[in-house]
Amino acid sequence: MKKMKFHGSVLLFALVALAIVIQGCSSTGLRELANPTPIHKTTPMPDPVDSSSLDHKAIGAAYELPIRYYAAFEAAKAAGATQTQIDTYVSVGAAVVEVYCVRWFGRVADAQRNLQFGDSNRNVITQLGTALIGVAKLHSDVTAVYGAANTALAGLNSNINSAFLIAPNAENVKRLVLQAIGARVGLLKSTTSEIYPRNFDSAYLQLEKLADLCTYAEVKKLATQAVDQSNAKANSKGEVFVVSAATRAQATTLKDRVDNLLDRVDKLTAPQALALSNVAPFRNNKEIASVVAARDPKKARLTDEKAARAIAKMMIILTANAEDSVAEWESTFSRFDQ
Amino acid sequence: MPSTIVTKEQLPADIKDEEVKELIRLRIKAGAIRSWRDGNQLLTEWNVIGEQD
Repeated sequence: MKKMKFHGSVLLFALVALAIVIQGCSSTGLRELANPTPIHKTTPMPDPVDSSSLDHKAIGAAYELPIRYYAAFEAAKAAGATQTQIDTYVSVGAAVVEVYCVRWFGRVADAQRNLQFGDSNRNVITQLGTALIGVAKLHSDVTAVYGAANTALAGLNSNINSAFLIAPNAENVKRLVLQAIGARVGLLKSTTSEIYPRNFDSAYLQLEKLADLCTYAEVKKLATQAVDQSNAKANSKGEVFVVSAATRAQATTLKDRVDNLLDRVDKLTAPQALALSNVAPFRNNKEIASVVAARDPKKARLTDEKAARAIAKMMIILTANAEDSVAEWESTFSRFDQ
Repeated sequence: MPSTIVTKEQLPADIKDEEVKELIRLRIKAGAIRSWRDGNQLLTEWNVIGEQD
């Protein structure tokens, strides 16, 4: 008995440590995600020690606009600068702001892919761990601690997404931000606009304001407004999701087995119900994932056993409509019986 | 504030009324608020978790 407890602790430690290592690999470089490079700040240059191995033409191309910006900046701030020089300064400055903004969204998209990679790998480790715990027939407390540790890791990724990244669908937010910047650039270049800069000080201020449209705070505001509008639209209409066709088999030859699957959800312990959210068949199916996300937008299924059971039953009904899918659910439940 | 979603499943053309009743019974057992036939489709309404419960 003592030996089994020792093995259980070692296995638990190893599995959680492996998941943490994978988590760590996927959440590096957070500082670069906080905001785009500010327009009036030194652009980070490559490390001179390593610069011999870099493509100097590519580096030159990357810094072309900032270099031209500072040339236009000097010309515009000189005494007796013409309106044409002010206009050029604003035009190049606006281009720099847009380029930095686009590059920032690129870094955000890369980071999101890294987090998703970490999530996928952690799911594999979680499933492997659940299987090994089943094979080792460990005490239910060990299973509960293991499930809680993985839920905490999933929460950490979610927090990183929320704090540093913008929204699950960053591409749409990027489009909104670039539209806002484009509209303001139009005003800055229009001689009839109230914000059209007629001297260097005004141009400088307006470029800072333009750059502010692509800071984390402003982007987050735009993303939140977009999500709020989307939720309001969904809620007012009771959003409709088209899912796989219902089958006669579910109502006839399979009905007793589907009934039994629903009963088995109620018989799961609380930790098992929560763990089911991470191992349920078809959870990665795009159609099912959309319905689950809409019905449980706050992901209560990961922390609340009642929510976990409700989502599991809905998933069963929407997917257990053929012999092979019913068998897959039965196989999943059999892992909890061991 | 409305807080439900609806799933829509295509029904087989040759399905019988008793079989549709059985599908509806299973959906209610699974926690649906209601489920009903609309032509050749089965509509099921589910509560959004955290909104009504």
